[in-house]
Amino acid sequence: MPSKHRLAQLGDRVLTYGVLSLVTAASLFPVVWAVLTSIKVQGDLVSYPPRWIPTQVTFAHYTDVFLNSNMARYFGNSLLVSALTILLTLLIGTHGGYAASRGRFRGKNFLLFIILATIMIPGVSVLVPLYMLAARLHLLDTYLVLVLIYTAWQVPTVLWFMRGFFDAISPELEEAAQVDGCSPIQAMYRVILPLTQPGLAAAAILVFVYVWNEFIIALTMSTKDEMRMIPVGLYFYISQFGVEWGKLMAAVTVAILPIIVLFVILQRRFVQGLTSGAIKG
Amino acid sequence: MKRTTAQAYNRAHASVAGGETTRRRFLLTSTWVLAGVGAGTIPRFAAQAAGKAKITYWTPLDPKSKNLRSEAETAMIDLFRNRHPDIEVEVQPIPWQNIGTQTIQSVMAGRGPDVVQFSTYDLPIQVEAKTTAPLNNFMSKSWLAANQGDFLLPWENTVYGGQTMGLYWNSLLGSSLWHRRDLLEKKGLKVPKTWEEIATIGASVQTPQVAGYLTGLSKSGNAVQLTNWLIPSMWAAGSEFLAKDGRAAFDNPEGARPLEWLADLVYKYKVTPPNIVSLTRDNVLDAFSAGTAAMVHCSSNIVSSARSSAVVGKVMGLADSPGPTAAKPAPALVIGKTIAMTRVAKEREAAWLFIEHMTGRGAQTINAKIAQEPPCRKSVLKDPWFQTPEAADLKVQIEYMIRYPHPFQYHPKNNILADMLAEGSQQVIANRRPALEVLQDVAKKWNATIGLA
Amino acid sequence: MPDVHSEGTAIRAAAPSQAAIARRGRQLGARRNLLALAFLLPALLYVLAVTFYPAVYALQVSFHDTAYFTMGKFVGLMHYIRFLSEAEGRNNILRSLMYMGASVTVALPLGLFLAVLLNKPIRFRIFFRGAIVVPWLISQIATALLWGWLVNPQYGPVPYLLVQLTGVRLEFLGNPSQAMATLVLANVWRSFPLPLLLFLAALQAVPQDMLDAAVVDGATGLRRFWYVIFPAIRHTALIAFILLTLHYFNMVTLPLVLTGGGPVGATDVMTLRIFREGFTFYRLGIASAVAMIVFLLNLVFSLVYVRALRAEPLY
Repeated sequence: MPSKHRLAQLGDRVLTYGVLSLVTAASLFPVVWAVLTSIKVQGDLVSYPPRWIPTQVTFAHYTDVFLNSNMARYFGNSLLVSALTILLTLLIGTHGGYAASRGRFRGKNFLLFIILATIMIPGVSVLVPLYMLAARLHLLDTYLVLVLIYTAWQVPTVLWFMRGFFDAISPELEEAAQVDGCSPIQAMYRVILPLTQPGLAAAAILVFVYVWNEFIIALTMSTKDEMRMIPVGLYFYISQFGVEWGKLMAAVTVAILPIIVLFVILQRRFVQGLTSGAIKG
Repeated sequence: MKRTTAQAYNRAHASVAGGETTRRRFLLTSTWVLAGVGAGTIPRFAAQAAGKAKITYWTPLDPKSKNLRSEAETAMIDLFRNRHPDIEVEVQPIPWQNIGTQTIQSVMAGRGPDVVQFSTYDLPIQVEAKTTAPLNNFMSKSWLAANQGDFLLPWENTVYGGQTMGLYWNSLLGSSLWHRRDLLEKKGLKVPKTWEEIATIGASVQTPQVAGYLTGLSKSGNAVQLTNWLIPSMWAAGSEFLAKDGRAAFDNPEGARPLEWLADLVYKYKVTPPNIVSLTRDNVLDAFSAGTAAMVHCSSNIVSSARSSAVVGKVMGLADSPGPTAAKPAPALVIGKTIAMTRVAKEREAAWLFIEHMTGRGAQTINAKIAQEPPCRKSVLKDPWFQTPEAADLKVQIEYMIRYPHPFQYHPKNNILADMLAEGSQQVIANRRPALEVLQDVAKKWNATIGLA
Repeated sequence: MPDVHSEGTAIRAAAPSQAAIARRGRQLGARRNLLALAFLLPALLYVLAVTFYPAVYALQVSFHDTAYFTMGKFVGLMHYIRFLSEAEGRNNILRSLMYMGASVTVALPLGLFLAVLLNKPIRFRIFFRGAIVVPWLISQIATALLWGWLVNPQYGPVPYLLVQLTGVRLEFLGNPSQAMATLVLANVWRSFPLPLLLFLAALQAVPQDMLDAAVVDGATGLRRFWYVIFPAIRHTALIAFILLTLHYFNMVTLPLVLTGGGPVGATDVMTLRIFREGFTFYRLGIASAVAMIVFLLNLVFSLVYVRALRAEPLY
């Protein structure tokens, strides 16, 4: 009995590590290609046979991207818009998620469905009216218009996502708190909300990645170069004269870094949620 | 369950104090941040020095970039700034794929640039969309007398309803035959002069790694890789492209010959791979630059991109695009990017001066020397620089353009036609449909689209 | 507002009757419902404020003739009829369904499977998690360009390796039958971390003692999964299902840059048709009509899912 169990455990572990390594390789394969391309010399970028390890290494593309274009500015723009969108989305979406989970009033499901329905309209089809509206309100080439649109398009997702987290928390907790004298509001903020930290962290990542990589709205709403976001900056590298692979890959490589940083930071919150034991009970 | 609930509750209660202050801090920070963003929405009014007129210029070239073309345009604009210190020029780079659409959107919304640089096929569309401003009033009789005849491309090409709606910013050769001199010389072969020779020479030089001939039939980028080659090839075969009223004129056996030839390259001579159905112009450029294609048809504006390749830069050659017979090459498809004023331009005089300058001899000479752009002016060609080795590529292409011209103006709905032709040619290669049948289908659809049954 | 603390103390001190407890419960419940409504309204009003006018405008445009972003005369359902009656329109619908169906079928189970693996107490967990998630962090444009290069038959590393290792020569995007598969593959590659993250977050909320109890009871991996893990994450699975379906059905950038709809319409999904009609051909009328059809289809999908959700016990 013990040896069979041990064998099963070993097999399980081999399978787990094997599969994860395979998937990791598949995930990183294109990214490694991108990073290696970003340090290849200009004349060598597209070559045949395709070479992985560059014969000559250069960082000229990186300096080019950050000194000879507005990419640094685009980074700042993306950071600001992302941060604001996360704040606003979490604010509206978390409250909405709580209501979706705990509320028992007539028409609740109908209202929730309407909220979800707003993201069923393909973004590309509302571009023109959104543009006209923004123009009329003098919101073109501002951060605000981007934050407003992105928030509106992410709130439904965050709401439904946070609802799931609220659902997983027993209502008995709130009832206990209210019996002890908390008002429903206090019960929500002091007792329930802290328990949803893994959900908030995940939602923040979701929104950040969405805003960081969003292209079509960012392209349409800004004609002034200083207000552009990173994906539009990347678009410039698909020039009229061919794709500027070196600079494009350098920009892509640097663009991933902040998200990875955020992801690693928020990873701990996931773990915190576990060790605090609040949900595990 | 009760015990665990109480535990959880107590634990949560213990964190209440911390929770309170963090929440307050959170609310405070977000208020500040939102206020800051609100402030950022106040439109920034450019400080206008007394008496300075300000114009906004939209261009696909990023002034901050350190490539030759951006540097050339910056030099052209700086020359203007020196000559007209009372005019301020704000340069906004716009991705070239989007500049037409963005101009229409902007002008419709009542705001927009004063001057725009359009792609080769965009001006007719912009005129239909009524975004451009007529320029006749700015062109005095004496100016016309001195300048009208100096443009390489037909003056009438940019005239709509009697009004000039834009001027050519450069001249562009739609397609010439790029080839690998080293591969041809190795086999002792000469540069092909007929379609047949492309096939046979391609078969001789090709290897499993290097295709004899490559092209791309993708719809992206207005299917320029396809149409830049197809249109002059139809002319060479003896067919017109479109009639004067826009009706399709290519649905005849002559018009079908180029696509039949291409299908033969793929299936009979096997010098072209069938995956050309999805290749874009950028793919073709990259393949040639990487050394995996022996011959391609490509446009003049990306010659320098291929020249910068370490693999083929020194061994590539340019030749006139072969015709069906050795008698003469295919007609040159001579097109050009245009520069125009929008109808929402406020400082019209200043905008005109800018347009006049950018298409003038001084600026065009800079563009040619620094960016290797064929100028829009004939007089610029007299500059001795064009006889230097530096200008060799330009010389070959310009001579081709001058010796074998064929008048051509894009139709206002050329983007729809290009899409149909790309789809059709993909069917010829991927589904092996007869070229004539496909072209007849396209002609029917096209004629219906423009309202001519 | 009544003084909660004194009331509470009074209740406890008074050893409340059943009726009193029930009444208190109803009062708290009613107040909580009011609170819930107050919390929901901002979300509702906000999203409607930003999306209502553009949506109504798009609907209006779909019933009119248009020229270059200006509305012309009323044409009723002409655009809809034209879209649905032409072969091109039917192809668009088919391709959208294929694209979405294939992508969800692969991405969702893959995400779940990997989430289960990554939830285990293995070494290098943070490294694996970080590395596996990277594809999702890259913008669709970069993904499309990267994959376009990787699978290019003339100079891409993947066809080259394939030929070197197996002698098989694939055309990927250059072949109508392979193009959709390649597109789906690229899409799954970049989007599977999304369901993975959702499931991972949900799995971490599964009480560890339930898992431990199952092990003690002798449940093997599969049994443990089905009876313990799956019920706890069913709600997340449905959310992931909805989100992915909508995401894939409305996606533009990746197909646009990677295939442009070709070759020969093999990947010409409805959103590409919308983009092409609206921004390349400037025929906003038919573009809006197709968009409305996409919207309707999305509604249908979501209604099916929501019905399934409603059958879900909330806790």
